[in-house]
Amino acid sequence: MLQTLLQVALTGATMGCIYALVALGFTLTIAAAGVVNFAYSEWVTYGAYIGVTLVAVLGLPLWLGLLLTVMLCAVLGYGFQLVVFAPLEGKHFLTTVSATIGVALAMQAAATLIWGPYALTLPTFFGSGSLTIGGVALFPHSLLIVGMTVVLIAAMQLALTRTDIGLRLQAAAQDPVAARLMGIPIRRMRTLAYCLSAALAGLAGFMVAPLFVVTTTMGFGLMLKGFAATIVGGWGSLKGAVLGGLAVGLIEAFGAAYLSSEYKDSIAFAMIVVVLLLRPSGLFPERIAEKF
Amino acid sequence: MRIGAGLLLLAVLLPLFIGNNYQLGIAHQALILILLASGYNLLLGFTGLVSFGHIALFAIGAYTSAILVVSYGLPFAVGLLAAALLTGVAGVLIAIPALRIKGHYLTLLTLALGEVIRLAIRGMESLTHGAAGFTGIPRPSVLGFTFRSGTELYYLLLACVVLGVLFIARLERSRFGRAFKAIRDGETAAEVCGVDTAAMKVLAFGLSAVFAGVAGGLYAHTMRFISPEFFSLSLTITLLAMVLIGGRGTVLGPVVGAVLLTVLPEWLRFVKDYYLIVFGLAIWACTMFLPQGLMGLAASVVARVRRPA
Repeated sequence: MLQTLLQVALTGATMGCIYALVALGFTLTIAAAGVVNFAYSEWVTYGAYIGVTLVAVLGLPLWLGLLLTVMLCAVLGYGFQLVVFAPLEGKHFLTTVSATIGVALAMQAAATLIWGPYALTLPTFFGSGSLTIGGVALFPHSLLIVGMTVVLIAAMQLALTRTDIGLRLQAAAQDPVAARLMGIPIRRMRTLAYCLSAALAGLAGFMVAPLFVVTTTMGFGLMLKGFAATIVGGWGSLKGAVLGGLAVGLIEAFGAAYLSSEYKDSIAFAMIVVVLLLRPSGLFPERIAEKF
Repeated sequence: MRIGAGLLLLAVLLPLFIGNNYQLGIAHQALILILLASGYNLLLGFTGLVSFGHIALFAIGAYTSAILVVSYGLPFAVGLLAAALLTGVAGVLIAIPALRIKGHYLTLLTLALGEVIRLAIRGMESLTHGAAGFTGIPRPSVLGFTFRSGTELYYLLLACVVLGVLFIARLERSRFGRAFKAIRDGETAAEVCGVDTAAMKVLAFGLSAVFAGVAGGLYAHTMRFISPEFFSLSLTITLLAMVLIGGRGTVLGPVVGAVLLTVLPEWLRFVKDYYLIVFGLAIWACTMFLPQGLMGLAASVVARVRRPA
């Protein structure tokens, strides 16, 4: 009984960390630029595919592949800022949503052309074996995901609150006009946010790839969970995105294990509905994005 | 008005020019999607509410009619009426929580609700046959006459579409149409001017849901097979694209958009993957450079020709 409980908790925590990474990157552009980016799903997908290309096709070592993937995704985010987001600045919500959906569709179709319609796989750092401790099967890769997420979030929290550039980014997010008057280059701060957001998406895609398979639709599924995490945690709140991601991952795992695995996919959606009906500001709201 | 009459003439004569059943089938789909997109435009284009759950209403309509006609042996007309009613009620129910939230919250709420409804349909196997899909739905028959051939069915669907589009054209000029657009252009201003925004939003949701219900019922009896997979998020995106590319907030925009996006993929079948790239980029380009869609473009061209600057 206890072993099952622990096993389910571990699965939930692993997925929760992935959702947290996805939601964090997704929330970053909402907080910093007020932009809901529906092309975020493709950033995750491309992260995984770039990883596969670098590691499986070009034969680079896994750690180098991971590093390069994150960097290439950051470059992708920079390109997006130039081509897609700069012209969208100040536009209506519907315009942003439909423009990014269009770009996402095109990118998804392009991924099918480039990498083919069949699912690809990415190896883990530790092979496919699992450790068994006290009857609970531990995948080293899962532990790596949890560890990496914790370190990354701590580093980001420190960077945002303790460094000059982090404080500037926060200021730009909270009140762009006042920040501009204080001499903070808003455009550059937003570019930074897009690059960071894309880097997080790429990281999430790369890390989740060994758990499942890499397909052109994998990013979309993860983005939907990211939506749920964002809503549950509190719109535009970075802390909320992390806690929301964990909550969605855990509740999904426990729901699938103890209630019904058939309805596993609807748990995250049901959470969106319930939270929006009962507490639209989310469970862990933060004031950072109130201006938007 | 003149464009509408021209399109209608074209639509009436169309079966004379298409010979095979495959092409007629595409025409059927286009007509049903015109109805669906026109209803969606009431919400998105007229009232400015971005719902991503509209396909679920379409699904409710399709399943209601299919279940009543196949499992309970009721006539087609009753099935279609029930589909319209039940979907309308579902639309109003969705509208009630939607009154409290705006913008992206509304979009994500409706997206989640739509997926929950779709997964619930898949889960209720005894009623809906689950993921396997619902087969053996009969062709429509009214007062003993069955619309058996493709051409007969085409004219039945066309009649529904004409009624629907005329209704929307009339609605646009009414006090309700003006109220919808006032909410879209400035909700606070509309409220100050005495528009009952809550009631109008519920009405917009309800009406667009009735359109989705009728379209769903017709879809079930036209295709004769429905499955939960068809009513997925990708269809929501196609629907959004139809309204945006055709021209949101115009009566004929969704008509043009629905026809274009049903026929083009068939013509461009040989370049399938490239088509999707172009489709995506077209949505993007349209929102950036043609915010009023093709009908908006047509209107501005006409205006420029009439009044040379």
